[in-house]
Amino acid sequence: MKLYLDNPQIETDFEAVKASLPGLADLRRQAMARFTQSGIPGPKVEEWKYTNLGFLARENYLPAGKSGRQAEIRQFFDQAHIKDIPGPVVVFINGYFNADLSSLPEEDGVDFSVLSHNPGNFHQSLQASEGSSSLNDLNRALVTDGYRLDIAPDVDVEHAVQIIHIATSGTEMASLRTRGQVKLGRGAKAAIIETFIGAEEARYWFHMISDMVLESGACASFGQFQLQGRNAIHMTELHTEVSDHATFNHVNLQLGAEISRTELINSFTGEYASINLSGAYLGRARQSHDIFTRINHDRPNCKSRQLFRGVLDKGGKSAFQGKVVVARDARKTNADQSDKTLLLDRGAVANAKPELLIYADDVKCSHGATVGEVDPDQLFYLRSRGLDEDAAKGLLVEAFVSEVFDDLENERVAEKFRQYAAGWLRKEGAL
Amino acid sequence: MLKIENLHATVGGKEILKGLNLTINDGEIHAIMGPNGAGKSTLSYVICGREGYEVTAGSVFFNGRDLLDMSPDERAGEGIFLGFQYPVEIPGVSNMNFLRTALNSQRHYRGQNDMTAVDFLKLVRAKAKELDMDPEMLKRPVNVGFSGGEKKRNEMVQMAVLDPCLAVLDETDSGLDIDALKIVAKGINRLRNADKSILMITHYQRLLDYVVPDFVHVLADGKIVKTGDRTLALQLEEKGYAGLDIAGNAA
Amino acid sequence: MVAMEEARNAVNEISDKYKYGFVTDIETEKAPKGLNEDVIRFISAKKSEPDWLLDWRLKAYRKWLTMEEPTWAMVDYPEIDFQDIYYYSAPKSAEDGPKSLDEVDPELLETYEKLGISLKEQEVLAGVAVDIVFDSVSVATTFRAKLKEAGIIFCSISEAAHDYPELMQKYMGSVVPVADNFYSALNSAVFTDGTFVYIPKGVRCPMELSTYFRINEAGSGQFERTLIIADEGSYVSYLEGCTAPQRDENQLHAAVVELITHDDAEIKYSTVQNWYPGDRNGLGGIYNFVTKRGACRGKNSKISWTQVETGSAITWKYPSCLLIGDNSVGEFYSVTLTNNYQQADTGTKMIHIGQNTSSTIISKGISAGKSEATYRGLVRVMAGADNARNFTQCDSLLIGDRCGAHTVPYIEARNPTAQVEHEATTSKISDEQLFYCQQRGLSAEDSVAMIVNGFCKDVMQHLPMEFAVEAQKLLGINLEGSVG
Repeated sequence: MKLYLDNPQIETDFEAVKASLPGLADLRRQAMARFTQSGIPGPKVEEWKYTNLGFLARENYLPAGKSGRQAEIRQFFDQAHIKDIPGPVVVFINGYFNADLSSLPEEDGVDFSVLSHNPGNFHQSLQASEGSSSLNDLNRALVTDGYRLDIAPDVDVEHAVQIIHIATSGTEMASLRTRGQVKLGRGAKAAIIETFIGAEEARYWFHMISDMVLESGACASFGQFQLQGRNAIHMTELHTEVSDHATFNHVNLQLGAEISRTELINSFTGEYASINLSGAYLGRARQSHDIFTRINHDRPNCKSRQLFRGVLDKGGKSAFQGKVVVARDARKTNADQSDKTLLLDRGAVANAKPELLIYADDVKCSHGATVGEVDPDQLFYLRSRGLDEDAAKGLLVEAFVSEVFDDLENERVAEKFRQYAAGWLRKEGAL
Repeated sequence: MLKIENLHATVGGKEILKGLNLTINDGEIHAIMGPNGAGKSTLSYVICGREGYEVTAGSVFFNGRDLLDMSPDERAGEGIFLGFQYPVEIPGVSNMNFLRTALNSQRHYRGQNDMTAVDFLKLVRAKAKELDMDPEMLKRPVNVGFSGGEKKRNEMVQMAVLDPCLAVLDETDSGLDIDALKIVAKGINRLRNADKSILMITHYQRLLDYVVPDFVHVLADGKIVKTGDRTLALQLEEKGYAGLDIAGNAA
Repeated sequence: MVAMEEARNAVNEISDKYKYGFVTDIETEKAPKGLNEDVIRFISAKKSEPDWLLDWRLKAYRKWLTMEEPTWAMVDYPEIDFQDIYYYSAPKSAEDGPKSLDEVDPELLETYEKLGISLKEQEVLAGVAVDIVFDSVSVATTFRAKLKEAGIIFCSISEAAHDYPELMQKYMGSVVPVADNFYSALNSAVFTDGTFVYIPKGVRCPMELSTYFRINEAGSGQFERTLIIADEGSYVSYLEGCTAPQRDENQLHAAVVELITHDDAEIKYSTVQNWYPGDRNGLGGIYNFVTKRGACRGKNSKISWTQVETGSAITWKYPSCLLIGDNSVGEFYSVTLTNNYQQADTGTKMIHIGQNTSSTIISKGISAGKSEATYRGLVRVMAGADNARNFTQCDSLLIGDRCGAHTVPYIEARNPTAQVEHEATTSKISDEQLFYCQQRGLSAEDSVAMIVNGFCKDVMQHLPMEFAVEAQKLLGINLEGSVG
């Protein structure tokens, strides 16, 4: 494995941010030490088979500056903010919490805190998913800000919490590293929508790690929209632990960035729980989306379902790597996974690796993966009814993707998802 | 032939049969009716030795031998056939292959030699013809892609080929149209003779129009609460269980 | 079901589980233990090989020295000491080369009889021509004359090196390059014998060709090579059966098989692999690390792999197809059954290069005991492979709760007109099915065997008849002790 540690910038980065969050210096130093042991994963690491991070050895990303042009920020905010949802909004700009644009949750039983306001209090939460990967440690060592959301037991949060991450045009060759932590107490219910948006032309490296815990009977609905600029590098990890009778629903949309990597790592820590992951990834020229999911069925009687749909236009590239691991004695596990990708043009590349590792016998597991073009029979049918080719194709592609959003409980969020997807499809050259 | 005394049985820790008594003599046809949840299917599974159906008290003797110590295949070897309410699909195994292996397994159990391939083929074809089964169906995998009626017809062909002493038919008539019902009745009537006995578990009395039972029992709450001749079935049809003061214990 | 009964009888006949666990006692001549250039020269000299072949071997050896053992498969075994293996072991009686069956060591013939492939019997019965590899040297070849009439070459690879050097040089290593992987490089350096088949233009091979592989010598590796070339418009069906005697220590088997089809040609390659799997506690057994690959070079050509893998302690094997010619077809039908402590990581690669190429993958894995079975497959559609089609179905069946069943497919598509479909399921034998069979009189064990055979039907039906019967038997035997 090549380490890519020959880039001295990483050390410089570390020096620059080390002192910024008092009380976390030891934790950061340890994380940095672990990172320098293993480095950034090289091309021979199986998990990174379809995304080569070699460029990180050649490019220097400095910690981003806190602010940007107000007009630009306002524009991104307006674009990302779902105004129909009257709930709280939390805004991060270039990796730092922004109080001016944010309206924090005030509901009883909803506790929200910001990492940079009180770093010492984050000591424990920063240790979640520690050691899971070297990039996780890199983030821990270099993080600039983040949030923690705690929902007290039995609280049913009224409105979805919106979290918006903005990268301004001043982030050229900058790194933005944030962290999120969400905990739903016993029987609590909440919805979160996280949107990532950034300057169209800037080359920046957005890197976020989130950890989520669902206690017994909790129900979380978590949506993520990725609308980064077309030169951006976007990397997120979401680690989720789901306890007994709890339900975790995640919907993911990947539209922007030149290189995106989305890791969804899930474990059952109790029985009779369920996890639903769904997502759509839409890519065109120079874009690469890499979705990496893992569901650890460590307990009996749990259910998981994954549904991903990809659409790739000329020059777009995707990878879906989904791994389901059913541990010994995880009886009555029910796991289903489906990944389908449409290739719209030559020069598009779709990769899929849906993996099942099963160590228990009383289980029902399945996966399906397909890659193909728009069904010519359906296309012909629509055209025979008078639609021109582009319209017919557009309709079919929209239908293909919309399956992902069908499960979204919140109709406003679903509508926003559809708008984003439709917007992508309408962009010139999409069809 | 079959003697059940004070039978108690539990499923998943719950007591379903609560002291059931039933005696079936050679050549008799018995029908058991009863409300949902009375324990009708449990009775058939206990007779045939299905795993998960635990006998906690009582005895079941078949031709003087204790059935409860035997595995399901030994019971089949003794001559007990269960017609399933929901016949099971076995992909990739042809009906023919399945029947032949079953028949020869039973013959081995009884100390007989294998039936020759030629004799077997003749037997199966003859039985299939009697019961109007398309011989092509014999080549198809067991019950895979069969309609409900075809599955039940297949059960009757299997019964005819295996030629049991006692046939336990668990709602073999349920969900059938009139033509399929007649086939099932034909299968049962063809088996009928002085040495064979039949236990029919049914919800409706309409099967009894075609196969006239010697006795009709009503099973409720794990026990036989009423026994009569076929007029009891007609009474039930007319008045319902409640009308006969028999309460269903399940919704 | 005939097969199951025979299986039952077979099991009753033997005290231990492995039917073919006997050792033939014949004097053998072997190279000193270990591997170096001298051993390779020894092997080459023993076989009086031409210089080009010795050079080829030495180059492979030097390449091998620079390579690392692959570790990505989901198999776990103690490190192999490659210097603790005999790389050449020939039955001594073969030294002078048997001219006919009468000259073959009778004990050897007896061995084959135990395997159920008596040569004499076969000669009389006709229908199957057998090239037998006993440890490392091909000892007898039948039906050659008859095949020769049709212009078919069917001989050992050593003979081919002498008699058909131009074909050998043209094709050997052209599908599996020497440095393709660690084991193919090792095989290229030390292969001792194997089978060579050439079917000339327009010829349909009149009989099934077959090789029975068997590892006999303790501590000896077996490194055979098979090369089959089907010229334009020709057809051949090739059967390969493998058994090995029972031994405590692990033995290494690293074969290379190369298939080439030209325009409109077809090769059907069937394997029943029943190498010694080790005992109930995982002691002993064959390490089966095999590279099999076919190249559909010609238009409308077809290569079909069918395998039933029931043996070996460890299997590492991915029979693959390079679909180069337009309209070419690749097929992979596989049954893998693991029991006790067996581990199998097997599957296929379908590489779509030409236009309108299609491939089908049907894999049925059965895991019992404490075994692990992994399907690992790659379907790759290259940018130029317009209208490529792939369908993959992988089903796993688990028997017992101490085993593992894994599915690791890779799909890589670079052409928008391609259709790639992959489906996989994992489940156990349902209680309903078991009870239904038992109610009809089958014992629990027979019920499982029958359900498993049904589960494998889609693959079994692609085996030639005589092989299908044996394969069904093997499933029954290898499932012994997995129920109850």
